Amino acid sequence: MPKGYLCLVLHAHLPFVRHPEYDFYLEEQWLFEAISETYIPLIWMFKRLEREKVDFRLTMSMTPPLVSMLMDPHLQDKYLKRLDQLIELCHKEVERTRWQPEFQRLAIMYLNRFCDAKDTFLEYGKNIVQAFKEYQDKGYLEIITCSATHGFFPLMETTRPSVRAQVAVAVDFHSKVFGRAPRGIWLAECGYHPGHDEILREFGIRFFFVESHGILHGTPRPKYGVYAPVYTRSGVAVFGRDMESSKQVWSAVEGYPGDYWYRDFYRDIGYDLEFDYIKPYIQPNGLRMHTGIKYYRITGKTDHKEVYDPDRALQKAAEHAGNFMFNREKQVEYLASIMDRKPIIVAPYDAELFGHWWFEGPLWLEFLFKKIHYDQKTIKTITPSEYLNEYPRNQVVTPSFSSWGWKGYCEVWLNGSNDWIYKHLHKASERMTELVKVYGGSTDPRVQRALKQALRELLLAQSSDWAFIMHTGTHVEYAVKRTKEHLLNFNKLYEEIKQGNVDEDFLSSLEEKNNIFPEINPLVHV
Amino acid sequence: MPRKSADSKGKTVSSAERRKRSVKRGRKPTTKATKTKASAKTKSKVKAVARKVKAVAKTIKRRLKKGVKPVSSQEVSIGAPAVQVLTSIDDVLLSPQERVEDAKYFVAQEEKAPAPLPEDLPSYYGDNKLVLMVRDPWWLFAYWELIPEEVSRRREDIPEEERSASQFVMRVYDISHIDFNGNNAHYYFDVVIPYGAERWYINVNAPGRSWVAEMGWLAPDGKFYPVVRSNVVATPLDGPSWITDEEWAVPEELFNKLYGLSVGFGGIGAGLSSAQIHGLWREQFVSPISSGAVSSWGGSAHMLKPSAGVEKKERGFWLVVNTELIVYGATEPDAEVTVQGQKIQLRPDGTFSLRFALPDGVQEIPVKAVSSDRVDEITITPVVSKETR
Repeated sequence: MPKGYLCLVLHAHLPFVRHPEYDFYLEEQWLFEAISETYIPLIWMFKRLEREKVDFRLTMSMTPPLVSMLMDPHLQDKYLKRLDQLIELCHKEVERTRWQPEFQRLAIMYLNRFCDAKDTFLEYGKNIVQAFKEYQDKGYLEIITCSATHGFFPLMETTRPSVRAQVAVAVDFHSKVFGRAPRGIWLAECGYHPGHDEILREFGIRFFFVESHGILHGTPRPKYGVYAPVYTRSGVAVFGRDMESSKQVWSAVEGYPGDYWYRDFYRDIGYDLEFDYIKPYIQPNGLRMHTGIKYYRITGKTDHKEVYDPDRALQKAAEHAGNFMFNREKQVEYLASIMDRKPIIVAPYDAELFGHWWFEGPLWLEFLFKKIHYDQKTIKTITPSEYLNEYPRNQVVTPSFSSWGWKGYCEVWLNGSNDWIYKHLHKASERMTELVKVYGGSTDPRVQRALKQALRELLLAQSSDWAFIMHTGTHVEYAVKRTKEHLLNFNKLYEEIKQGNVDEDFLSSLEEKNNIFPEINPLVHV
Repeated sequence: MPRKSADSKGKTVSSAERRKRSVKRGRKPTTKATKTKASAKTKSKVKAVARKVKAVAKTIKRRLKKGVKPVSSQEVSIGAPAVQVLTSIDDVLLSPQERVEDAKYFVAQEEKAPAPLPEDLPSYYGDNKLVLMVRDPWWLFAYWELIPEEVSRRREDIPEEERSASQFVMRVYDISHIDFNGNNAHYYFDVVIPYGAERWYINVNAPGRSWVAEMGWLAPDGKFYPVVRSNVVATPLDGPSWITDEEWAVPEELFNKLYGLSVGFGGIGAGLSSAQIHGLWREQFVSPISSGAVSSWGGSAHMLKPSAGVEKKERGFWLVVNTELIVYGATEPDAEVTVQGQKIQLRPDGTFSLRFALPDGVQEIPVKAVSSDRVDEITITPVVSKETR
C-alpha cells in the first residue's frame, strides 16, 4: 500500500490558429512543432509503458482549440507537408555532416524522429487525438477539458453568460470527441473566481485545479493545505498545485530543464546554416525560423555551446527522474506523518514544456513512471477521479480568487499592454446575450447560422492567449489582429442579425474559416 | 513549396507604392470578400493600404484636435500599473511615444500580416457605464464609457456658484459586508480623472474587502453628484483565512507547516507566525520559477519574467565563421557514381552536387564514375585541406 499519491497533470493547449487562405502561416508552426516535439513523443511514451506493462496514471487537459486543430484535415495535411520537408532536410543534413560524426549522429537521430513521427501520425489516420482517446479508454489517461477557447474566467466575471458558454461548449465538444463527459476541467491559467464553480457543477464537472494559494487562502482554512482536495459549496472538488514539485521542474534556478547536458532550444539550424541552403525550409519570405533540428547542448551560461550528446542527456534525464521521485517519497512520508489520510501531490505542467522546450522532458516522464512502478512503494500515480473515489468526504472551502500566472492573479492578462480589450469583449458578450434572448427562437435557418457563428467569433476573441501574447511582446501584431478580427466579425453579425439582413457570403466565409465547434449551440450563452 | 504566400508576404516598397497610388486614384475595395482566392487577396491588399492611409489621416486629425488626445491603450500602458491615481496623465500622453507605436504597428503589418487589416473597433458603444475588475488583492482596474449629455446634465444639478470649480472624479467605496445605499460605506476615496481617460488602475491596497465605485462631479463644498455606479467587486485575501471550521480544525503550528511546504519552502513554515507565512508566499511568487520562454510562442504565463542566466543574453560584437564544401560534377546520366565509396543519385541530366560541412583537416574525396555497361571507369580525387587560424 502506498503512503500517498502523485497526480501529474499536463495541460495541452494552443490557441486556434488556422489560415486556409495561405499555404504557409508562421503562427501555424506552433501546432506543427508541438505535434512533432510534444504530442507524438508522449504517444510513444504511452506505447512503450504499455508494452512494458508499467502501470501509470496521467491526467491531461486537452483544450478544445487544440483538439479542433488536431482533428482539422486542412491543418493535418499542412503538418504532413511540413514533416516531409523536414525529412528531406534531414536527409541533406546526414550527408552534409558526413565528416563530422558527432553531428551526423544527431542528424540521423532527427531523421529517425521525423520519420517515426510520420509513421505515428499516419498510423492514427492523421488524427492523433485518437491515440490519446485510446489510452484514456485503456485507463492510463484521464483526459479533462478546459474552457472552450481558453477564456480566462476571473476577467469575465461581469459577463457570466460567457463563462457559462465557455464551459457548456467545451463539455459538449469534449464529450463528442472523447466519447464520455469530462469529469474535470482545467480552468485556463488556473484562473478561479469564487462562484464560477456553480457553473461548472451545472455542466457535470466534478473537479478542477487551482494554484496553491487558491486553496491556502480559501475560507475557512483548509485542514490539509494543498495535499487533499476540498469541495466548494456547490460540491465541485478542487485540487491545489504543489509548489515544491513544480519548482523542481519549472525553476530557472533549480529546475531540471536548465541542466548543461540537455539540448539547447535556441541553436537551431534554421538560424545557424547558410542562407541558400536553408531557405526552402524557413519562412517563404526568407525570414529564418526554427526547424526543430538543434545540434547543441545548453553547455553553460555563455553563448559558447558544445555539441549535444544524447547518451549523456539520457543519463541526466534518468538521474533527474530519480531525484524527483526521491523528493516526492520524502514529501509523502513527511505528509503522511502529519496527516490522517493519504496525501495527494498535484504537479501540473504545460504539456508543451515536455519535448518542445525541454527536449528530454518526455523521456524524464517515462523514466519517472518506470521508477515509480519498479523502484519504490511509498508513492503511486493517481488521477483526481480515483482519489475522489477513495476519499469522497472532504472539507468544504471556498477557494480564493487566483491564477497560476506571474504574481498569482490577473496582472499578466490585465495591464497596460492589453487592458483595452475588455471593454470590447464585455460589450460583445452583452450583445450575445441580447441576441440569444431576442433571436434564440428564430426559425430562420440563416439567423440560426449567424447566431452560431457569432458565438464562435466571440469565444475565439475571448482566448486568453491574445492578451497573454500582447503582454509577452512577441507576435503582438498577430494577437491584436486576431482580437480585433473576431470582435469585428462578431459586431458585423450582431448588426446584421438585428437588421434582419444577414449577408450570406460573409457568413459562409466565416463558417469556412473560423470553423471551430461545428455543432455549437448558441442558446447556452445565457 | 509554398511560393504563393511568399509573393503575398514579401511585399516590396515599390509594389506597396503602386497599390497606394491605385488607392489614391479611387479604386475602392468592395466589402464582399469571397469569390476566387486570388482576387480576394488582391482586394484585401488594396483594402489594407486604403485603411492605412485612412488611419494615418485619423492620427493626424486627432493630433490637430486642440491638444487633448483620447487615451489609447499604449499610452496608458507606459505607467499604468505603476501609476497611482494622481500622476499627471499629460506626462504619459507624449506624442513621440505614439509615433513610435504607430510606426511599429505599420512595419509589423507590412511584414507579417497580409490578411486584411481590421478596421478599428468602435471607440464608443453609447453606454453610460463603469466597470470594475480585480487585478489582485491590492489593485482594481476600472474602465468606463459615459454619455456626454448625461455628464453635462448632472453638472447642471450643482448650484451655479459651485459649478465651475467642480471636478470630475471617481469615488471608490469600501462596502465590505454591508448593503450599500450610497452613504453607508466604511470609507471612500476620490480619484481625479483627467479628461479623455478611459480606464484606470486603482490601488485600494486592502485585500479581502468589497468595493464599488461611482463617477461624478465633486463640488468644492464637498457634495458629490454621481453620474454612474459600477458593479461590486471583492479583492481576495493575500494570506490564509482566520476562519476555521470545527470539524476540519487544524492547529496553527500544523497549518503553518503545511503552508510552508505547499508554497515550496519545505517544512520551514513550522514555528513561524502567520504574518511571516504571508511573506513566504509572496516571495515565492515574485521570485522566478520560470525558465524564460517555454517555446517559440512565449509559453505559459507562469513562465514569464525569466531570471537572469537562462535568458538569452544580449550579445556584444561577434563573429561566426563556418565552411562548407560543395563537390559537383557531371557524367553520363546512366552512369553509377560513388563519392567516398557511397553511391549517389544523379540528376536526370547526369549532373550531381554534394554539400559537406568542412571541418579542419585533410579530406580525400574520391569520386568514381562507372559506365552503365561497366566497361569504363574514371576516378577523380580532390584533396581538400582546411585549417583555421
